[in-house]
Amino acid sequence: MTYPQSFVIDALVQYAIPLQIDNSQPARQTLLHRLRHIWTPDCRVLNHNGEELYRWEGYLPPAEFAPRMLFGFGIAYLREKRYDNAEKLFEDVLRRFSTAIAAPEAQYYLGVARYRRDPESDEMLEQWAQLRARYPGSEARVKQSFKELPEPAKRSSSA
Amino acid sequence: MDGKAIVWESDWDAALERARSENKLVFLDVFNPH
Repeated sequence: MTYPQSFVIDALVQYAIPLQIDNSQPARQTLLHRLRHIWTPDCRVLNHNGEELYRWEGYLPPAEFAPRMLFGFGIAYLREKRYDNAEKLFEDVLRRFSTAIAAPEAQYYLGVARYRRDPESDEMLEQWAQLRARYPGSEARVKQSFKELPEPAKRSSSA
Repeated sequence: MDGKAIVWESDWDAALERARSENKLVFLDVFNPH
């Protein structure tokens, strides 16, 4: 249901080699044990050494699957210190899927990527200010609440 | 659907080797066919 959608296919093959494992096959059980597999669908993003960089489990409809996958690719690149690629993916999620469940996390980690690239800049706080404004009820907002720019002063209305 | 389809690797090592040569990540989907 999810994979036939062209926007999902395009995103997947642009960034990754698709690998699929059938968990009912006896020959796969050793690998599945090593992966600590417990439920399907079980989606992982790996590097070319087979190291796991991001994962999630459970069904997502296409409109949530694509941003979650793109976000996962962004986290993978962030862990690999490929900050330009990571930022581009987080920005893509925010631009194309701004109401998706993954969007607040993309906003949060866009700030993290900017900080990792240049700890001296204020860009992390600027991204986190956007997180506060755009996704005030999100878990990501709670995570960033320890460090933030002051709220802009409210303008008083003139009579 | 518009006729596109994903061509899935099923071989772990082959997928990692392709990822290395093409400078890509690997997207692993563990599924149950039933």
